[in-house]
Amino acid sequence: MKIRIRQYMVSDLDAVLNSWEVATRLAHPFMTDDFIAQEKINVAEIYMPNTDTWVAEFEGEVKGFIALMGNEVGAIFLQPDCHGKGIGKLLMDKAQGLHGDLEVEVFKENSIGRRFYSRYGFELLEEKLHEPTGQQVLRLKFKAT
Amino acid sequence: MKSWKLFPKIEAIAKYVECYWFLEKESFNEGFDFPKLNPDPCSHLIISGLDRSFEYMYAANSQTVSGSHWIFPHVNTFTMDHSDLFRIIGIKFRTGALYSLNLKKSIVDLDKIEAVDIKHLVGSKTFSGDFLLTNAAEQEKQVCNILDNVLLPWLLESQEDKHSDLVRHILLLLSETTVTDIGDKLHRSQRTIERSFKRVAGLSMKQVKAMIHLEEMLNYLYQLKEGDIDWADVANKYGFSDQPHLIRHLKKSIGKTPASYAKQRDLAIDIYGNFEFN
Repeated sequence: MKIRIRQYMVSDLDAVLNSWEVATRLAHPFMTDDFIAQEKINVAEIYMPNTDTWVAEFEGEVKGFIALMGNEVGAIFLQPDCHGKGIGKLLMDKAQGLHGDLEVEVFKENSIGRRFYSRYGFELLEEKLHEPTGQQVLRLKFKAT
Repeated sequence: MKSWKLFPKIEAIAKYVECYWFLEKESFNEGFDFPKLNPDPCSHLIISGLDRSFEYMYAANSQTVSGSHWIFPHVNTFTMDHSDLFRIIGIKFRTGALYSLNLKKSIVDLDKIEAVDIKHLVGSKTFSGDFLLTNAAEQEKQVCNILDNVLLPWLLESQEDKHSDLVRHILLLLSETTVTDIGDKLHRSQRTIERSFKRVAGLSMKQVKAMIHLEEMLNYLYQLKEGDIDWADVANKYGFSDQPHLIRHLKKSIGKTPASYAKQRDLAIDIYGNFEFN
């Protein structure tokens, strides 16, 4: 089992988008197809060109990524068949090594994401309504020690 | 209409940035199309998509820019064309902040609007106005955290000197203290503090003081209904010797007499509300 974390390249876009879409659908069952379609365009056109993104290669294939804007974790997604192997932790370790304290937002309904963040050591800052989806969003903070 | 206003979390940023704000006009039938912007000693950096143009007018002068831009300190009241839909994030800098950020030449130009490439300005590879604007309405804390991150390296390059240090002290006193007393309190001659102030803020102390008081007065009037305003009381409260002085001051600064202003209520605060209370 070989995991490698490296900087994102434009040629990773398809693999990154695929991991985003599969994992997003699993974690956010409340999202409509329309909402996901629009977000997918945003990920490709707005988020990826403007974030500091790192990908996780597992056995030579890109299986997931973490997108950073400073210490803000804009996104971390991983192919569901790669969950539970410590790959997400390695991606987060990369972000933590670069920025120390980290902040992230997660839908309250996203139990997969919330379990991951809470195990990593993120703590709740606040909870609020996300109007486009009508869902509650949690803002979390990780304090480096 | 959506809006918010939040403060930077990092002290090194708060030293120069007073607040971040957001404003979105979502449909054509909301708001008044030509709100006015009262004089302001602070510079605002406006983040906008490139496809949107903005017009600022005063007297016979009109300035139009597309995309992100600076609104430098202005002594005139601007009329803005807000007839189209728009979505903007503002970064409000403290009075005189640009002096310390190597933008000295810019602030000499009062009443100026200037297009700006923010990515280049702050030297950040990951800055994206589009990203921030896409998320701004819903994720204000995230947007502010990202702005803190983006601005920090740039603001850490700031340079303070004896003039900016002195002005920082003057600004703490300016609103409540007479210009003569400020010199005494800071153990400097009148001439020295005036010169440093003009150099850093691009305006005289008297001008900035008048703008601060005008802003305070407008915030106060905003909370009152037309019929509830006692102008003699307002004049007294905001340091005018009598009502005619207040009338002349308003006419000169926002181009309206108190009575016609109270009727029309066409300043940005009237159209978009006082962000503080949102």
